[in-house]
Parts: sequence; C-alpha cells; structure tokens
Amino acid sequence: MSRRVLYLDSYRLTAYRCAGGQTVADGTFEPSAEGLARFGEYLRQHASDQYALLANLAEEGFQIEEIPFLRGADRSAVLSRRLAQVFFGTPLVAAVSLGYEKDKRRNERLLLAAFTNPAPFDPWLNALKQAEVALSGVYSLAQLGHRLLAAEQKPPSRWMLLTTQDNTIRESFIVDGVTIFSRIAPLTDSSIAGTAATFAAEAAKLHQYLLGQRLVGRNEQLTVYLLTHPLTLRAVQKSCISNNTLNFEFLDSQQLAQRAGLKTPPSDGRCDPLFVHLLAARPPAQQYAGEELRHDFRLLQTRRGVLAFAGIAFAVALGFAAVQFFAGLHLVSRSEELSLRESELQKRYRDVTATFPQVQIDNDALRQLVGRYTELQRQQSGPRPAVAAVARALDRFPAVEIERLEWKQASGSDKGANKPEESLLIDGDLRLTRKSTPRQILAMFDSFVQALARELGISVTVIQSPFDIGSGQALKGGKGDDPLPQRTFQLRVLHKGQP
Amino acid sequence: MKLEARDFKKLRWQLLIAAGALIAGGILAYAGLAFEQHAEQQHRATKARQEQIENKLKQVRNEEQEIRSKSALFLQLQERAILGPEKRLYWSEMLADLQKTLRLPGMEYEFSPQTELEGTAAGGYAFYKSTMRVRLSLVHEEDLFRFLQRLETQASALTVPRNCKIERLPAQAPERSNSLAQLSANCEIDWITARPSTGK
Repeated sequence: MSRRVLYLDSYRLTAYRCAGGQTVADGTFEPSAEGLARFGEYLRQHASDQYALLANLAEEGFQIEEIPFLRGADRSAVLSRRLAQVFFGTPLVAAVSLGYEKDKRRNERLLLAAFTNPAPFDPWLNALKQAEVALSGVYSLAQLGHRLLAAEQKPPSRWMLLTTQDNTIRESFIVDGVTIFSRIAPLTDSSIAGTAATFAAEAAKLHQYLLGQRLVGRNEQLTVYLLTHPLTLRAVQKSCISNNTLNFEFLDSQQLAQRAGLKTPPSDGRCDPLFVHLLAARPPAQQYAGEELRHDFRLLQTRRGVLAFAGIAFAVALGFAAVQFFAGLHLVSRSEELSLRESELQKRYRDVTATFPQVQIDNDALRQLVGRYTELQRQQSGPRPAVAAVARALDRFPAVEIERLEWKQASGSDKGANKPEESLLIDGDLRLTRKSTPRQILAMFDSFVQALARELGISVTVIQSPFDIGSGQALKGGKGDDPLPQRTFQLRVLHKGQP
Repeated sequence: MKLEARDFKKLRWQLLIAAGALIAGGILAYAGLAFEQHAEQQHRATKARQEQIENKLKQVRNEEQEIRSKSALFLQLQERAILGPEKRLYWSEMLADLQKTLRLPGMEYEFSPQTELEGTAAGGYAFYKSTMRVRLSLVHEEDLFRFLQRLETQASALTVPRNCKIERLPAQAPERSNSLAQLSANCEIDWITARPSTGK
C-alpha cells in the first residue's frame, strides 16, 4: 500500500506516488471526460492506496473569527454553523484554532478557511468517491508554507512566503506558524528575469494589501522568504532588494528539498514536488474535506486499527507464551537437576541400607510391623503379676484363704493406650477363732482389702463381705453358738497390668 | 463514522485475520501456560521425591541402631515362625512336650478357628489369632506360670493370655484322687501370627 498525493491546480490533476523519500508523478489528468475516465482507471488500479488531495487554486478564503469558549459537540456545532455562514455554498472548509483571548470570557480565536469555489474539485472528488478509495483529506498549498523553514532557522512571528508553481506565484502571510492569508498571482513571464521581477512586484503588492487590512504595521519591517531554484537565485537576489518595509530572504529549493528528506528535488523553479513531499511526510491536522468524503479513509483506519489490535493481542499472547515457555524450561532444567540429586540420594540410601540385615521389608513397614508386635507383646504378661501381688498380701493375713481367682484381661477396645487393664475376681474365706467378734472380723477384712489396694488395685470392690451389716440384709444372732453365719467373701480388683 | 453493509465486506479479511490472530494467540498463551503448569507440577513432584529420600536418608542415619534392632527382631520372628502361616502340628507337639516336661497332672485344650485380629494391618502384615481354651490340673499355681512362660518363649506364635480361672479342687474331685492335683486352671490364650496382608 502506497501513499499517493493528487496535486490539483487550475489546469489539471497530477498524481504523485510517494515512497521512501521519493515523489514520482505517475499520472496527469485533464478535467475532461477522457481525463476523468483515465483517472477512474488509475484509481481502480491503485484502489488499495491512501490518497490526499493537495489543491493550489485561486479561490480560497480566510477569515479570523471569535467564538465563545466551548468544548466537544457544542464547539463542533458552533464551528459548523459559523463556517456555513462565512463560506456559504462550499463543503470544503476548515477551522484552525489560534488560541484563546486572555480576558474573562476566554473567547477562542479561529482562522476559518475554505475553497470558496468547489466546482474544480467536484469531478475529481466524485471519481474518488465512486472508486471507494481512501481519501485522507483535501489540503491547501497554503497550509504547508510554514513547514519549509526548519526549526533552526527561527523565522519571525510574522513573515511572507512566495513560491512558484506552474504559471503562478503563491503568496502567503504566516503568523505564528499559521497561514492566515494566501493568494495566487499569475506568472505571465516565466523566464528567469520575469520570475525575479514578479517576485519583487508581488511582494510589494501583498505588503500593501496586508497594510490595508491592518494585518501589519506601517513601520514594521516584514521578512519575505522567496523560494527559488538555484538557477534563478542570482536574478531574484538582484531584483528583490531589502528596504525599510521588506526584508528579503532567499531559500534554495534544492537545499530545502534535501533537508526535508526529498530524494527527487525539483528540477526547475516549480515547487510542487516539494509541497507534495511535505504533505505526504506529515499531513497537517486540519483539512477541508467533510466526513462523507473521508468515509473510506475511516474504513482504512478501522482496518489498520483491527489489524493493529490483532497484532498487539497476538504479540502479547506470544510474549506471555514465551515467558511461560521459558519459565517452564527453567523448571524442567531444575527438575532434571533434582532428579539427578534424587538418584544420588537413592544410591546413598541403598548403600546405607545395604549394611542392614536383609529383611525384604522397607524401614517404614518394618517400623509399623514391629510397633504393632510390641504393642501385642505388652499384653503377654498374663495373670502372674496380679496373682503374685495377691500372694504378697496374703502373707500378712494368714487367716485369709483364697478359693478361686478369676483373672481377665480387658478386650482390645477396653484397653488403655499403654497398659492393658486387668480385672481380678477373688473368692475366699476367713478362718477365725470362735472368740473373734464381728468388729474384729470386719477390721481384719478391711485391712486385707487395703493391703490389696496398695499392692495392685486402682479400685477394690467388695462384692460379698464376710459379715454383712448392711441395712438391706437380715441380721441374725444371740443363739450363743457360731456368731458368724457367713465367712466367705468376694472381691473385684481392677488394675493396670505390666506395661 | 457510520458503518454500512458494504463496509463490512471491506473489513472481512481484517476481521478474519484478527480473529485468527486472537485464536492463535489464545492457543499459544494456553499452550505456554499448560507447559509451564505441567513443568511446575513435575518440578513439585520431583522436589517432593527428592525431599522424601533426603528425609529418609537423614532418618536412616539417625535411626540406624533402631532399624538394626528392629530388623533383628523381624528375623527372629521369621525364625520363630511368628511371621507366616500357623504351625498347628508343631503347637500340639510342643503342648504335649510341655505337659510332660512340667509334669502337669492333666491338660485339655482346644484351638478355635483362626480369625483376623482387631486393628489395622501394620507394615503390609495382617495379624491373626487362634484362641486356645486350655484346662490344666496343677499341683501348685506356679505350674501355670511356668506353663505360660514356656509358651511365651518357645511357641511359634505370640501367646497372649486373655483370662485365667484358678480354683482349688474340691476334696471329692476325681483329679485329686488320681493325681497330686490341688488346683485347676481354665485359661483362654490367643496364639497370634502375622502374614503379608495380600492373602492368607
């Protein structure tokens, strides 16, 4: 896709292809049926290119206006209305903000400009519209004048510029980088001497006009820049002599073209290619065409926007994927290092365990198995400790005889965590003399129970006492014979077994 | 700018390219993320394995003595046939031998069918028990303790007494007239063995 600039003057339309600092005219079309047909064909051949229309026509209007301080849609509405009032009957209008007044109302100063006669444009704009090509805008040659001077040349705030095109001289009055007035004068004698003389005469005429319009002061010396080809430079310098009112400065078109980056400098006094290059390189913000004419350009921008969005989204995704991929690679590399370390540790582990007795069972399983076995082994002690404890107690109570011992280990679910719980049921009787009183019998029995409790019991329960004096039982006596109808007893002892 | 139907026709390729780029970008991003997550998962697993073996190695060094003693016990259990299937024939021979050695006046026993012991399997081994009900005629209660102690040290199983009833034989009891028996003991003893829990 190339950028193309269509240069329109009073006689013809010239198409330039602009690429890589080169501006090449590749078509010239007369405003005739044949010329328009060729132009239509040209557009069809280059339908995908982007176009800009640069006009160098006499019918241009400039007016400075003030509008209230407004923003957004209100400003646009006021601007449209004001442009329609000032330049009635032409759709090719533009407004350039010149800043705001510094009083309280802060009115905005505007330069309103227009091509007052749209007729020369119509056939070309219709052809562009029919061909549905992207027209970025319609521009005036006057808009580009201030760009000729590089920043380092530091032009004064108000200056005049005279350039030659075809058979015309373009005269522009530029204030603070904005062309506020411009006109075309015919160049009847296009010889070097004629051009030089016309420059001098037109500069004086424009100065007079600006004085008349009170755009410059009477005692103000105005700088006039003359853009000339090197061949005409000497002649122009001779004709244009600075005085109290005009100070002439001469610009070499070849040097300016080189400085502007144009690789195909103008071969004669005509400056058209230089302006075309300036427009293609950096178009001004303001242009004259309405939105309807720029519809296909907006579509082109939309297409570019969609592609740019897709490109950015793809690039972001690609970047994200790359980051993730490299992070993944880093992890893979670290995993490989860890695997090597793991293998090394495995080997060391095998080396260490190889010195152990070979039991065909890993250490964790061995630990669990032995733990369970040890737990079961703790329950192995049997009745011996309990019976031994009872025997020790019996040693101190010779009157106590044991008839039956029933030892029982609590079942699995009843057992404590560390020590199995055991119960011992003891059946016995007391061998006493006939003189023993019930009080003595009970005292000795209580002592025996306490001795048992000391030896092994956490609780000793008397199930049957040798002499029952409870209120719930019958109590017999007084016959003079055996005062102890019952000497048997039964005890239950609960205790923790051997750990 | 108002878009018309014809405009969409002009935009179609760009929209298609954009959709393609978005899909391709999405796939790329997803693939990148999936790769990273997979690598992260692998890395975590490898790290866990490495830490596990590191801990194991540290543990095995710290507990070398413990493992040695437990391994020795394991071998001893294997040797005594506590690990492995029951050896009931050997048990009955050992009981007969015990009666003779301890000069027990009388002994009757009965083993119940084997059942799995309560509690979970440990170290890949399951524990089983066969409960023996035994009736002994004793001259002295010490005979019972010697009997139990011999079982504990010689039986090819872990023997755990669950209950024992010791009583003085009545004067008229037939055991007293036929022998020197003074006491009788009725005990229930679990004979515990262990086998790999994959099958009996």
